[in-house]
Amino acid sequence: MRDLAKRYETPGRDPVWAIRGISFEIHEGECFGLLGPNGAGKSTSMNCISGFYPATSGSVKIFDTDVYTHPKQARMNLGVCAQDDTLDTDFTVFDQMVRYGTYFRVAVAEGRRRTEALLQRFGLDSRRADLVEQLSGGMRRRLQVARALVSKPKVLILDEPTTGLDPEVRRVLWDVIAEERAKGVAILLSTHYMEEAERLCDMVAILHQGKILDCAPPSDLIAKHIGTYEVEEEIRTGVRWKRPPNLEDVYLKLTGSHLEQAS
Amino acid sequence: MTGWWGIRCVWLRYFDVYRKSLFYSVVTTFVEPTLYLIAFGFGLGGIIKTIHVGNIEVSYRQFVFAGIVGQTILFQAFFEAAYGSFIRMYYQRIFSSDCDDTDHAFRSPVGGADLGRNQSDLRVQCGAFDWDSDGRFPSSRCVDGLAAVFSMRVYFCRPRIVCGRAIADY
Repeated sequence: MRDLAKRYETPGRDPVWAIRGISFEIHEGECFGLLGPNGAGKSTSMNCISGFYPATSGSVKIFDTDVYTHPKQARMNLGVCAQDDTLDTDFTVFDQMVRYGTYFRVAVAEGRRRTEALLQRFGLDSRRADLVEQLSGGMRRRLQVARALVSKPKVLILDEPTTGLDPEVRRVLWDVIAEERAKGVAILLSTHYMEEAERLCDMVAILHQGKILDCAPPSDLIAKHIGTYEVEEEIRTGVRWKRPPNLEDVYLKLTGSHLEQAS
Repeated sequence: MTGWWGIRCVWLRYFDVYRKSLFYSVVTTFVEPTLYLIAFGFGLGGIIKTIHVGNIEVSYRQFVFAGIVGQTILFQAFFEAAYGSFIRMYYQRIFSSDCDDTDHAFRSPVGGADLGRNQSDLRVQCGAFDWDSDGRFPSSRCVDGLAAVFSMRVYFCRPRIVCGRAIADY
């Protein structure tokens, strides 16, 4: 991704720059995390990368295929789990995964086989005949991630995949992400959970107001911005404790000073 | 990725949905014309015996039966292509034409948006509308026929009457 910028233009209003010239690379078997407050431009970046939003300027290439000039070829390698619910409400859990696979030229028989395996992996096997409306929020989220994997993508884009999930299911998803990464899948992950980013991501970019403030492995970011000493914080009035520094400290340090300005 | 593949994917998706809801689709297709037939057949049939169309005299039964069949075919095909498409694109957001977050097919190779102009892929739209016609297969073929009749400026009632007579005789 090179110098990607996206400007939203609404008639009668000033244009809004959602992202302002960001660049990064993700390699095979790497998990790249995008961190940032709400409105930082994470989802816009992901939508631009998947070719869903036209970028105002810049370029995105997936395995040397330009997303904007050859969107279909580029998307053949992409698995996308969007932030919002994008499930097809006309189909059952099983059928929509098979159907979605056909969009990527996965034969129906092969799609069924993959779907069987994925539903078991995501703990949705017992709900295979249910419609989307009958699923809980967590199950829908799992189904969306499972559906993104049905085409065996080489690049996986996960926009806040664990938001709203209980800790157990979140850990299942973490395992899945780790497995995919081990298989050589390049993963782009956006999340609000610092622990998640620290645990899963090889590289993390802190995004704020459409710009990357810093981009490095989580441990390097912590060492660079916070240091290696323990951090002391007041968790309640009069109660202080010391703990090792983490990515949240970096995140708050880099973006916190701008919160007032952003609001 | 050829355009035909996209059309095929979309067509098959609609076919799947139609197949799954076949019972309701068929039942609802027949309920309305049946009610009309009862209302106009029994209701007006006692008063009107014959109809003169040009210089041809046909029984009211032939006239109303053919008319309701034609009206049902037209309505079903139009409803599916107009309101059905609106529901799918606006509420279900399956193949939305705007740049909305929630269009699942646009995340796949099917339906890549024309990024330069924020427009939907024509091939997806073709597939969708092709299904709209074929979703009501007998209706759509008849509508095609009627359209051909109109375009050739053939007197509308004549084929309808012929059709009605054939059905009544059968």
